[in-house]
Amino acid sequence: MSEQKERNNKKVFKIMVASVVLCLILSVAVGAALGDRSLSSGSKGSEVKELQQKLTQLGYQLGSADGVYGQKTEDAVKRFQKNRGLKVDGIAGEKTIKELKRLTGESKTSGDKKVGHKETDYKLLARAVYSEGRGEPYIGQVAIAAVVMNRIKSSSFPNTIAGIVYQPKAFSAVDDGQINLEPDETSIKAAREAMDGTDPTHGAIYYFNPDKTKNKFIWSRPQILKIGKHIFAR
Amino acid sequence: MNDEKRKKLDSWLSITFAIALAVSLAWGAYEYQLLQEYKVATENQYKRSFNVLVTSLNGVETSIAKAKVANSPALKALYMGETWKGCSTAVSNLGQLPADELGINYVDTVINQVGDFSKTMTRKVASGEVMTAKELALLNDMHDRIIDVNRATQQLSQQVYSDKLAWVDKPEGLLERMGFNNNNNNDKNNNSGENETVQTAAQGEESEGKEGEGQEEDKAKQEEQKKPSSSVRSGLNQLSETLQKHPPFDYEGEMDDHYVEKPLGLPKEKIDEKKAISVAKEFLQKVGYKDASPELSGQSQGPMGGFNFKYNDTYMEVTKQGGIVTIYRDQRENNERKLGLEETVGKAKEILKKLGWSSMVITTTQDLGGTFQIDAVLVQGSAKVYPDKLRLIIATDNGQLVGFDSTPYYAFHHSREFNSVLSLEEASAKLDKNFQVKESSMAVIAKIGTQEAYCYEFVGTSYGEEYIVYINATNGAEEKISRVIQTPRGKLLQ
Repeated sequence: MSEQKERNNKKVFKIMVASVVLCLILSVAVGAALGDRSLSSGSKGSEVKELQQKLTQLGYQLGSADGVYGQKTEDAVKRFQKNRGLKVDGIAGEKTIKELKRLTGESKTSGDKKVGHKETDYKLLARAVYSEGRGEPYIGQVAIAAVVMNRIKSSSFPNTIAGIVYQPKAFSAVDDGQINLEPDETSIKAAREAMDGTDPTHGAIYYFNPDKTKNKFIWSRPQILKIGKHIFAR
Repeated sequence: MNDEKRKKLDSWLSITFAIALAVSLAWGAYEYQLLQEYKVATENQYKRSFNVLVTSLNGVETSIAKAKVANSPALKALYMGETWKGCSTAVSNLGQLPADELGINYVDTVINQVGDFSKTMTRKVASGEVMTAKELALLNDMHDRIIDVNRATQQLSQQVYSDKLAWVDKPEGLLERMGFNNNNNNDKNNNSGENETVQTAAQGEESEGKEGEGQEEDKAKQEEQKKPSSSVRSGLNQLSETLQKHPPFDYEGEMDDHYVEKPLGLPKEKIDEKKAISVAKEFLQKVGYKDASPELSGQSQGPMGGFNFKYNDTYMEVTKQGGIVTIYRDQRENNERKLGLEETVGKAKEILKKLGWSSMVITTTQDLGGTFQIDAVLVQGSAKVYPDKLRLIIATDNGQLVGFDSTPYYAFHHSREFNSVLSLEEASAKLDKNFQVKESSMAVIAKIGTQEAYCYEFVGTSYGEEYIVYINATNGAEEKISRVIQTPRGKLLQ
């Protein structure tokens, strides 16, 4: 009887040890989740990588997501905090991570069902804006995005953002590959604003740099206004 | 000894050179093969797009022909719908063909217009209405033009295979220019040399029509013959030129709405620069910049044209006609957020009053962190007038207005008369039975172009999701459905 008990005890002990070991292995394999602790300069690991990926998703460039919280990551966190109206300290604390998670989350129906990311096209539009108009004033970047949106409405062009951006010879930055550069947060903001309907050009479907363009066709279009280096025309 | 040494050196040298030559030859061959592979892959993509273009145009031609004859709403709507779908495929594939330079292409325009018209007609016919004689005549007209486009592209597509027609006129890059690309060179020779008889698309089409038809086509043919098409692109450009000569389609609904030709809401009187400066100053003062000195930075042309001003980090435009502020942006830095949603909306209402906007109601808000993007629309009687829209961007650090856009308001605002024939009960009877209404109100919504509809707006749920359904208050038609989605930035109406 007591022998039986002892054996049982041993069994329980074995199971306990095994499950503790399993737990340890699992926790190492899965890694801690973003938001478990506050991250700052010098932090390392999968949480940092997730933080970096989310920042990049929103357009805060920081080189590659290598899982090391370095200077570039800190700068990106600071820029994010600045734009979001958070305390700018470069530390990814509870508030910062919560805001970051909220912004990178999926869209939901009123019934709380996830339906994926909506309006994903803004990323491509932002690439077009960044590659064509970085260095231009903000309003000039909105204007470039607005030209793409106006082309969608126009009868003379394809009807999607991708169709317009990748139309051969439509944008020089597409032909020379600059379109693949990661856009910054300004160009993303400009792209979203134009997608929401803002159009500082009042209906332009062309723009060009007058110092660099000799194309007769584009000079023949009725001009609307000049913003920064670009003339916008319809 | 010396000789021997030299011989040895020579042989070493020659061996080295031979190896170097062999390596570079192998490398060259490898690169060449790679280039060929890329070229074939790209060519295949182009050919695929072109084939889909030709096939879908062919389908469009057939479905229009059937739509003309169909008498039942079911079939007419089906064929108009097929036309719409075919046009959209055609345009998307046309946009993938290589081009040598940017230009406007009337081939796109014609197909897009046929697509837009058939979309409108699909809806009309499906709702049980009958196409008017004018609309039928237009459909017939469009059919004729689609036949032209169809035949011309078919001709070009044949030449791609039979005459190895190039895609664009200019060589595409350095390698081709250096003679690396034999195929392409052959194409060039074919086109400029032995194949002078290659007909342009337009030529083919015109010359066949010649026998039975009038002199006009003859003339057109002679014109076209001066410039044989040397590539697919130039063929398409010629087709575009031919199409441009036709009068535009006679259709009142706007098919191209990227540009507001006549802003309906701009005040009449014209203002000069001096007056514009004072308007700009007054606006800046109201948003918190006392004694600002805005500088003229440029002017914009067109019906919404105005004077552009700069002041520190701000940019704004005051229209020449009417002297109102259409666009304002303040790019100042954001400080730490102090205001939540409700406080920011409160600030937005305050600034609206300050700027002289009464009877506006806030419809949507988007949380952009440092700012809130807030849209407000006019309320007339009890109806929200969605086309008359203002956008405000409010900073969350101190509630200052940092962005303003009144362009939609002035483009569409006009005096409206509301005649509702249906009662609320009658209108809600038009809703889907599973749709559970939570709220109802009146609204004016935009339709095609500047057309609008006076509607009952029903907010409710179905299948566990929130929707807004608009029922026309005059004729009971279900005008529009918006799906309400919760995005990270706020509510989105899809």
